[in-house]
Amino acid sequence: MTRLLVALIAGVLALVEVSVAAGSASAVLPLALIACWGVLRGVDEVVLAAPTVALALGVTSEERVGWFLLALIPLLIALVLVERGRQRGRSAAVGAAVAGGGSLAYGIVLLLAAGQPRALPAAAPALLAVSSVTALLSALGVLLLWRWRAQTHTRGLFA
Amino acid sequence: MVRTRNAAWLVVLLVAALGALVLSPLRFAGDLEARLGAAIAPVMASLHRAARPASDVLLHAGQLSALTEENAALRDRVAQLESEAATLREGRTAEEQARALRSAVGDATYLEASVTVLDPSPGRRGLLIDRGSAHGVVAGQAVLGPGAALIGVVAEVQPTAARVRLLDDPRSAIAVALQQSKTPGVLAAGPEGLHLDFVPTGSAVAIGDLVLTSPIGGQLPAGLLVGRVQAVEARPEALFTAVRVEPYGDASRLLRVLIVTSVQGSAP
Repeated sequence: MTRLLVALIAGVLALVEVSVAAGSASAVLPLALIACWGVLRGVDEVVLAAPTVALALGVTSEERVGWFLLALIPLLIALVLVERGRQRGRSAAVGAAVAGGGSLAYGIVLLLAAGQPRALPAAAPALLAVSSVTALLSALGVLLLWRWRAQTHTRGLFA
Repeated sequence: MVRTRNAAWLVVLLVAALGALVLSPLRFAGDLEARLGAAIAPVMASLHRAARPASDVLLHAGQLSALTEENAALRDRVAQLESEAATLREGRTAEEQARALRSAVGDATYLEASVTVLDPSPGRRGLLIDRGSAHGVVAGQAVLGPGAALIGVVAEVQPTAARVRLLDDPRSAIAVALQQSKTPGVLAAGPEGLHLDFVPTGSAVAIGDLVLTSPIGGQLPAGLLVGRVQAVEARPEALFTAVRVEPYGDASRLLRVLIVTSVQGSAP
């Protein structure tokens, strides 16, 4: 249930961002949500969100859905590798790092998918700016949603 | 246990991504993506329209000084163009330009379309518009933006939507010619912006020359305004001259575009 809810919210966020802020941001909101919820609840609660976001972005782009999903994999790998902290501040920092790195990897993979490796140096400032915003939003998300973090005695948000 | 399950999820997603990529060249997969895109296009168009006033303020609030400078530069440019236009009116070039514009604008049939979304991929430059094959749109038609300047070409068509590949997309290549010297070239996009390929060294190219579409290749009607030459770098040892082009159409804030559906006497 939680997985579906997170996937739905992430998909809607992706569509809203593409509709409202296309050209100036790059999947900041869904990536921040996946990162912060993954840090709080574990990667298994965001596994459906990744393909949903990839589908929402892929059908509006000339790039294929598969590339968007592939671009989101580094973020999920980072979520698997990090340990969920017991302290609020530490978790926020972890969320920011995961979101920033994941967002950077997302942009790089999609630039490479478009056959533009030579464009990477020119696009680096924009990618870093987008990653910073994603990291900041993810850290804020962790702080705001801290009360819903995974704890040993609960199995799911709706359990 | 948890780590094994997470690793399994990652493997599943990785296989799904690779599977989607392997299947994507197949016709049904591309059609499915395009149809899904066309299905959600109206929702996104509504979101876009509803949120545009607020998003404009939020997204451009930090650019006020840059916009002020841009405004001043544009005022200078308008004054310069007005002066140039007055000079051109007196000369033969003006006659040619007027004839080119008449043939491109006067005899053409247009279709108006709304921009639904800009391509979200950082490596692509494209638009989704709300007109498709049901309205007479076919792949290869020219798409015009502000000032009737060419901004791109229709790349894919669905019954009620179409995808426009903008001039600055890395896969875009348009046959063009310089208005004054008739020097032909291919307009392509690179990391530094638009440039002309295959302009032989020694060709007559000057900064400010107008770049128009060329009938060579039969892809687009001739004489559509594309941009102007921004910089020229001719090296004697090189086969081709490096020519940078400043486009006239800015697609980043577009709401409406015109699709050239037919041109009298030439194929669109």
